[in-house]
Amino acid sequence: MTLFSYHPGDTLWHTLDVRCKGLLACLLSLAVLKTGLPGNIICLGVLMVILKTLAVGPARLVTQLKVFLLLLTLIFFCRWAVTPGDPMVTLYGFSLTRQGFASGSLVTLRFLVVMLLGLILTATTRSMEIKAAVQWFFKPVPFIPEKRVAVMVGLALKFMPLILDNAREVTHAVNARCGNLRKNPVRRLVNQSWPLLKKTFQSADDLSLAMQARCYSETRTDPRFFPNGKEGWVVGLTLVFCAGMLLMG
Amino acid sequence: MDRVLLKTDHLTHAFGPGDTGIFDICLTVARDDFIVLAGKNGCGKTTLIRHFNGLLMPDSGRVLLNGQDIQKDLTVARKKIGMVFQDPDTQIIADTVFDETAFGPENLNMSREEINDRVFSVLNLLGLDHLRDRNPATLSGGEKRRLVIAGILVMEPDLIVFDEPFANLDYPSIVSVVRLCRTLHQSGHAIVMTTHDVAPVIMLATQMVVMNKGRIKEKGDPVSLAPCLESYGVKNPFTPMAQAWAL
Repeated sequence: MTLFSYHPGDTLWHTLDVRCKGLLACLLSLAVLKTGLPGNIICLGVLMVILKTLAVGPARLVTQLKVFLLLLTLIFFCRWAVTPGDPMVTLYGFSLTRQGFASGSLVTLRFLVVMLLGLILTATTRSMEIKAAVQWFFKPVPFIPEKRVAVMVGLALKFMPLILDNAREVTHAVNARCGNLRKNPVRRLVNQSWPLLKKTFQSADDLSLAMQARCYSETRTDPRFFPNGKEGWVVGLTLVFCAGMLLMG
Repeated sequence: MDRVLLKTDHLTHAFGPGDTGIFDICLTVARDDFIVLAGKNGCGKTTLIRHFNGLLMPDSGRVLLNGQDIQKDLTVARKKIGMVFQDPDTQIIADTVFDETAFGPENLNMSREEINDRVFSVLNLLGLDHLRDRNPATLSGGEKRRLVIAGILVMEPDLIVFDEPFANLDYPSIVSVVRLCRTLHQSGHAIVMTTHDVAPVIMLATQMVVMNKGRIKEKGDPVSLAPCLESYGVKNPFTPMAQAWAL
């Protein structure tokens, strides 16, 4: 299982109505985009506490998300290098600026917070529930086939852990034959991505056959939602929290 | 009621020129049959069974279920013919054992109460009820295989098709799957099983069909056919070497 797989449990986050969880994720994502560094740091702290209650500590996060963290580091350095302002360090004619540092930190932190929100949502919610919520949210919107959209979201969620699993297997297989010793990063990327792509398409094909074999169609039994009764105050608290973040600026 | 459940009539499906595919397959499955479809890898076993419920369409020939061409109503064919794929991981769709089992009945648009009744009863039958909230990814190989069978059984099929059910299983899991197959057969389900290891089921099977290069080469009583298996690349379960290996 990867971090993005559903982890069964009976915490508050597991038992909240999925529609409420979706709303919370949207509210927090919007607030994070509108607030500055202090608000983002506080939000990150709160999310880390929630993840801890789900038995996902920082060490596990860093180990399993190292590729994503590498990407964030790259974004941070790019931002630091290209934002004009007061130079902090000058290397080979490139100036790394104070403004770039602040802007890079903010963008990276926003990405990280949004990713952790998604992680909490997928780890505590079954993909069938998310699919049901998407269908429910899109039902009143005209000209959008809500069932089809829900299936697409459900499949995307199903595939995220599958692709991560496949990527891990391919990496092991490549490294078992000393593929990690290759110096050329492009060659290394090709060696890993081509089998991963093949494996992912094969999995998609198998999954589609398995769904067809069990009579899959868009006319299915309607999903049911199971509110735990605490949705009201959780949304209320989140609204207060978001307002606090926005006031912090 | 007619004894014949499923019949393939001169079924042909070629993958390009050459020997790849299946050719002129005529096979009859009775309601009380337990058919072992043996043959080495690539001989067309999986291609053949995927025609049974219309996952693949033939180039020529047809598949009849209860005397009706399956192409007239694929939903009925897929409800009545449950298919257990070789790799359970590719067949598992949902995030919990309960949701996975309920997937089929939800597709059939059954009422929520009926779905719950059926799912609980099947999970209980297969000894999976205590795992109903578990993520299928955390189950053992044998448990995953039982879960996949639960997802099929809940749709109340007449015929259950197993594609290499012993692949990647340890000995206790093989024994558990064989026992389950016997129970299912005794409870009135027809069974078709593809395998290149016939030893675990040869005494349960009522008929053996041997395939080679996309064609049916032998058909008949499993024990009588055992001596000719090795000429088609399948281990004869009664040779001293095979028995010593099994021990």
